[in-house]
Amino acid sequence: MRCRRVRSYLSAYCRGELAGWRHQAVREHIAACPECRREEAVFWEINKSIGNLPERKVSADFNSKLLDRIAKERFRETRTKAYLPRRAPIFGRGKLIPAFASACLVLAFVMFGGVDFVHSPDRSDMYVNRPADVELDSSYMHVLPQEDRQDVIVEHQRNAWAFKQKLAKANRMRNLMNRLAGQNSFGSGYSHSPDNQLIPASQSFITYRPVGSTQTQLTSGN
Amino acid sequence: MVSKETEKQIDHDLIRKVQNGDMVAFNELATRYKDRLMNVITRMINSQQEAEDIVQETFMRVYQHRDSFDFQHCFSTWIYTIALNLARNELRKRKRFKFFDIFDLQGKESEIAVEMKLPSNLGKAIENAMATLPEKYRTAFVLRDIQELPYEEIAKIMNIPLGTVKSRVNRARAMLRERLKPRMEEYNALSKGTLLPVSLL
Repeated sequence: MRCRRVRSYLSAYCRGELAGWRHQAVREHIAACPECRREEAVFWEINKSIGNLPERKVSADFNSKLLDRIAKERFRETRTKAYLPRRAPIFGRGKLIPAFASACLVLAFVMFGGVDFVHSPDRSDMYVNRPADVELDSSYMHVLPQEDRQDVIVEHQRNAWAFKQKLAKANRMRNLMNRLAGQNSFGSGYSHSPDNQLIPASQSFITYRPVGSTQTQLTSGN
Repeated sequence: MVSKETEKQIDHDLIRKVQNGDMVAFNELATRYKDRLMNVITRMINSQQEAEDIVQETFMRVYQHRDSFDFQHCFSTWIYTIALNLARNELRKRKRFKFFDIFDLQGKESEIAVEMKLPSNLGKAIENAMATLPEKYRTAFVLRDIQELPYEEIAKIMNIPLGTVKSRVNRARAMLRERLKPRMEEYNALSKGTLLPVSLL
């Protein structure tokens, strides 16, 4: 092996990185060549000096400064927008429509007298909880033709309670419609009083009177 | 001497704990690697203070990206890569680096003679000569001859083939030898016991 090639291997040879036939060839050449032997000595000296180089170290408070910086970084992480929870909306998009619809229904109920209807003296318990033997107010008879009155009486006597409920319901509906329209309903909006006087329908309604009561009475709708 | 596999396992255990928020494990990692990184970075950028800043920034990056660490790789490879990238950025920012040209000493034989008598000054000359090496050769040389990392790990850190690493290391040694040649000849002459004039002492 020639000197030029051997010198290219010398640094690896001095570091123990050459193996096999190359290592053997370089060793044999060095033994025979004084120039290459001097070069080998230089490389050994350089390697020895590199090994004796002082190790560079960080300052004594490096760890504390680093952890302090990390703590600030962690604090900053908790303040980012992504970390802060979104404020829960009072009305989310999913709740808005049902809430609006409910508000409209309530408003319509109030505007059209639903509150009054609910609290109206017309809708009293006497319509629902009356005993089965309550008789009809005879003022009702004035609106029927003469020939039907007896049939009605018989029917009423047979199915008194069910019919009374229906009449009560009809009465309530009429009053509600009177209030909605602002005028009397059921045709002309007028009816006849027991003494055949024409009166506004809103002022007359059927009421139930206790059993045994014979006096015909017209009760005001208000 | 702890084996390479054991070192790798210890590092992985520590980084796993750091991912779970364990700051004691992070402190342990910092203690294990701070001086190694400092040694490399100082040789790269030739400035103690800036090297410490880079090492600190390296650990900050490790913390910020702790969740992205791939356990299939070595932690040491990862942290060295981060540190060297930061050092490279610093060098590019500087666009120049300070170095002490040993050839400026020509003509100052008295000073050379005094220096050569003290082995530690040869070390200083070597450090100065290292600073004159091109960046890619200097990186390979520092990682191999100073940090004594295996060639395979250096190849992963620098992201170059194994043969290229060996070639660069070899080339760096040859360049260092050339730069130190005049000084080494003086050193050899002194080491043979040549008497010095009194004025040179």
